[in-house]
Amino acid sequence: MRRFPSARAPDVQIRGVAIEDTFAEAFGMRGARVIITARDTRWAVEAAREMTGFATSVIACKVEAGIERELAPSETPDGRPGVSVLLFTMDSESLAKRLIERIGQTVLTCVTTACFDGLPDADERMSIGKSLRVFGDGFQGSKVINGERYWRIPVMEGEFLVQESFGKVKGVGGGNFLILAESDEAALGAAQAAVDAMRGAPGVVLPFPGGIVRSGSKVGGKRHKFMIATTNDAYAPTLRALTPSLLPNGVNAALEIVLDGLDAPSIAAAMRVGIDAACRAGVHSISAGNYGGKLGPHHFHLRKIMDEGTAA
Amino acid sequence: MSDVITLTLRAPVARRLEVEGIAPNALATLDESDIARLPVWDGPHTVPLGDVFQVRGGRSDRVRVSGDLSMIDAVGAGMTAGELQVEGSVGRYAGTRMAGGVLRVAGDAGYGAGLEMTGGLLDIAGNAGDRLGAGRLAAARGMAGGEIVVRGNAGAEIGATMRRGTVVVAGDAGPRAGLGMIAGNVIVLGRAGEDAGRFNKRGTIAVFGRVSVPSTYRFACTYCPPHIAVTVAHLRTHRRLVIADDEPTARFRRYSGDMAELGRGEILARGEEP
Repeated sequence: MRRFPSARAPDVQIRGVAIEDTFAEAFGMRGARVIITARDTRWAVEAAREMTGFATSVIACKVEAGIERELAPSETPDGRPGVSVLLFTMDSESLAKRLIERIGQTVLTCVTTACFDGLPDADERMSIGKSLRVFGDGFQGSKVINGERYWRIPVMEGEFLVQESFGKVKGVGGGNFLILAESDEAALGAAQAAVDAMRGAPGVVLPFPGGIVRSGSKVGGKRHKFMIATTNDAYAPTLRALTPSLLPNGVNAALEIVLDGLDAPSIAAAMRVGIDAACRAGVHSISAGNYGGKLGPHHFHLRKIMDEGTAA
Repeated sequence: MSDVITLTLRAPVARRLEVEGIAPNALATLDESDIARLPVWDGPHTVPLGDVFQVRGGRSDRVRVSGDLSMIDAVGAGMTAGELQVEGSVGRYAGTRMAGGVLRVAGDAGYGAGLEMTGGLLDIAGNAGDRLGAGRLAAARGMAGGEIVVRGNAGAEIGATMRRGTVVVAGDAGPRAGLGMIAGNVIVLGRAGEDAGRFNKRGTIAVFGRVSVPSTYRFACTYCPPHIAVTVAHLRTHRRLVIADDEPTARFRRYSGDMAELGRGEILARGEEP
């Protein structure tokens, strides 16, 4: 990714950290919310972690996913503790395939769990339980409760319950901001603070490990032409002397936070909270990755986002 | 047009009357005077609705009926939408063949409430009579959709030959619950009478109190049925039924049957010991 700051922009700072006059460029995705419940939070989280494993980037994982938040028993369809997970794909058709794969391999297999749709108001629906039911080898059954069909699949511990229909919405992927810091320790501390602040933000997940990306990428490769994405050399501090660097003087490390969300306002709200938390000692500036506005329809202007937060 | 149409019984009814077809969806298109002219069956004859009820309002799909209607049959029969609130008891066949909307009865309901209903909600605050949510005698199918909630007790043969839908009884149910069930759910939060689940094909009969399981059922296991947890959460949240807090992890004994039929049905009996 590149950044395209506008020239001669006035300086904007939060607690001494410059907010660059640039924007994060995000693109449309299709998203689903899956609610996993279990006998206790431990097993709901366990299933959710498995489900969101190897789901950092659609480039190689086919899906981006993360844990949205833990749910109290009063918030789940079966009155048990739960976790909500968001999953995103680039196209509409593949989202159902990814859900079937991941629910089938990571939730069906996990003790005491059940699996429900978290987007009951979504107009677009995916038939998920109907595909998973065949694991029951003819012994499965269904129940309609309050107008929703659920499949009961017999397993060695009892039954796995999965909802038939899951909602699908037009989501947003690739919201991001960059933390440019004086040291790797300062960058990590700020990134962790940002992730902690954004944790539980409604409708948003951070699909990368711990919510943080160190391997920010650019499109394609200069030497390895077959690569879809390669290292973002403009932000790699060890290449400062070898490549047209975008790292300001005094910056020795950069980390990226990537956000996927069910809608743009949710991403903007989370970015506002995260950027504010990242503005701390040792951080030089906050920037964002974009392609000059040519690739993604969603532009999150950092200063505008932070201004709206102040106004609110 | 009014917010609510109110029908107030003019005088106690001495003999059985029938009001089939007087449903919120039908009244929603009629003025007060048109409603008053609707026929009420008195044996083989009809009398105007206005002679039996004082009618107030029109062109609304929300209807409130006051008075003791325990001698009036087929209240809400065939309704497809809207809300019908009866502030008293109703006679036989309340909500028969209803396909949608909400019928609330503040008192008791007589024989055959929700008979062959296909959709909507029938909520009875008091007790219900025999063959709740069942089919007509000798009919191939009973209830085929929707939900019935009885907050008191229910009579014999509830859910008989039902194909889909859910019947919930917060109190006790009489004998032969789920007789000849094809599928669907009968949930009894109290006790169930003798011979529950006879000739059940694929239906679920879940009993939270005592139930005597017929000998044509086979014990399978003791476990926490996940669909019961969802049902309980739904009843607690949307139907305001008071149910013990431990229900999501409550254990039930599962009996498969009726082996005299397909054997794909089940009786779920609360507790680990019979």
